[in-house]
Amino acid sequence: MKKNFENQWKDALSDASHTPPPEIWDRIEADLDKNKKRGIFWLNPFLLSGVAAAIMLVLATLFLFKNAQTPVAKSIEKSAQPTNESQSLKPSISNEPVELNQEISAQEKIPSENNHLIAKSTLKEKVAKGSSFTDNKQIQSDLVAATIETPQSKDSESPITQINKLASLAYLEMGNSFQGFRNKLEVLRDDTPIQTKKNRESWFGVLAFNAPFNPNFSTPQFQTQALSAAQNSAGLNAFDKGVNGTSGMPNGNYYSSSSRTDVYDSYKRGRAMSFGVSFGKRLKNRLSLETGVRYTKASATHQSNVYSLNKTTGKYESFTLSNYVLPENGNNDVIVSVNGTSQHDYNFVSIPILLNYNIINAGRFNVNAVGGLSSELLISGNVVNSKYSETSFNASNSRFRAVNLAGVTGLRLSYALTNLLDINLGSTYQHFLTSGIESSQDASFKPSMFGMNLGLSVRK
Amino acid sequence: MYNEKELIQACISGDRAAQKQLYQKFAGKLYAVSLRYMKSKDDADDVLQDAFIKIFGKLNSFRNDCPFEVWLKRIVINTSLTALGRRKKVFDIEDHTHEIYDESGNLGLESIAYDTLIQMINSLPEGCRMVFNLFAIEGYKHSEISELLSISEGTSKSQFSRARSILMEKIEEENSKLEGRLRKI
Repeated sequence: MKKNFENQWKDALSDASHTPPPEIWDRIEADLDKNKKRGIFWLNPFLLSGVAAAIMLVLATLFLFKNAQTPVAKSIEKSAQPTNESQSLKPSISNEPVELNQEISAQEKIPSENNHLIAKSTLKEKVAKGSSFTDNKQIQSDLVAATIETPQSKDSESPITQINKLASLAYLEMGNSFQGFRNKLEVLRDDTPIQTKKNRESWFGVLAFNAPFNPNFSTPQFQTQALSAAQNSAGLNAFDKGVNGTSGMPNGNYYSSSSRTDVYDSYKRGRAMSFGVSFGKRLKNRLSLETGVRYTKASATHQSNVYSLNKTTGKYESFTLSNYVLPENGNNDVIVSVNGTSQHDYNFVSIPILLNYNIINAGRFNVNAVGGLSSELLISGNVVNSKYSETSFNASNSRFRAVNLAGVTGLRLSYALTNLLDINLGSTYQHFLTSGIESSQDASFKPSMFGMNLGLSVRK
Repeated sequence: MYNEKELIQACISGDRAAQKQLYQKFAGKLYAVSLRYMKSKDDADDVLQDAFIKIFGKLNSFRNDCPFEVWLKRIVINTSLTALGRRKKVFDIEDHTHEIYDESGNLGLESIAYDTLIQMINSLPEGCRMVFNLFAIEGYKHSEISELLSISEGTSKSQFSRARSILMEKIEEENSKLEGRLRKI
């Protein structure tokens, strides 16, 4: 059958193959690495959710701070009967932690020309020793709110009547300038329930932390060392589907010598879960010191195609584990073969020492920034190579260090459930500052975690 | 070793070994495609590199609605066309006189070396080369090519007609060279 022009070309070229220059893969790989680094933040849902949660915490707190202004216990009593020209208000403001008492005497003047009532207060404060800046600010804000301009007021109405009238008007608890509703007035009557704002002096709590765990296990010399070890290993053979060998084996396997040079080693992020207790003590004003004890179980997946086989026991490990983590064993042969995965688990006990700074104190809501150091004690670890080989390790039988130092930072939102109990939600980032592997090794182990923490604390 | 579906999944999850395996499996065929579109080897290298970056970035959008290799080739073709600019100006010389050929005799392409065939295609003017590749090798219709390249269907046909006559000349030249060599033997 005769074929037309284009079909003859199609037959000649449509299935053609032309081996590209080898450096193209290197260029692609470099591009992929670059994209990975660039995209690591935006493409990582864990990191993104942590950051989003932190932003939400800040925004939510700012919103509440703006709207939910804390009522301060205040009673207004008349020190004298109002006259046409003047009257005095004598609010006493109590604030438990600082035992703040104030006397406010207000004078009112009624301008004859516009018939407006303006209450001008003069403040005589007796601020007990140790009162905070916030308390003073709060008092000032209350006094400003007590200065009321009422165009419709009648001469016969006293300021107290005016205040009570205004206080009885409808308001929106969360009102703000964007919604077009007025906020709750700062004017409180005698029957207003008393709420107190108080800095916690000390606390004890429990917490849980959940985060992606990146082991950051780095072996810069891996390629050279793995290839060198494989070449120095004598007479090992592998069954490898990917390499054409000298004779066919059942199930499509080939029997071949270990001559591969495409060594591969990487870690995939796993998960870390922590539980613990924390203790805190206020140092001064907004600054507190926090410590505690925490247990962390972390996991990661290791992928490699270089194995170390113990000729005596027949047990195998990844070359990374055998060469950088486990003690020297001269009876190992190294082979480069197909890619395999192993599960790494680590158990740490942490003792953090953190400074806790209260950024926002808005009634029941508090936002604290925490930062500091944590001693990370490696208790034990475990590596499972499929179901055939499992190795447990700790600091005494491996090159992992027993004590490590990590940096910790984070943001926490706490809400006072009762006068004693707080619930905390926040995000925490932790990164090893020292390598968890002995410095004599060409490897570094600096795990990092960035995730959410939840806790309950009892305050005093 | 992964099967194709597992390989795609592993690549989506960022497994570098799987990405390399996918590259090794398809790079040859895809490079042959980029060599047909791009005049120089360097440009073909760049297209292959860009195409694979796109492939790894878009693998999760592959819906199995066509063979995987066809999907990969489409990406290489699109990357090539983007690199060539898809500019209308390469079709400036619009010749609406295109002949219709029902069939050709045996061109003897099977006896011509692959590299020579690629050289022949690369010697075509840019517009002709694009249309020739899309119509003759990839099997697009002229109506599809006109949409793809934003040209008229008539332009697509005339560009192909022009490519055909240039290539016919070159094939004849090559065949006569071959005959000459055979006579000497």
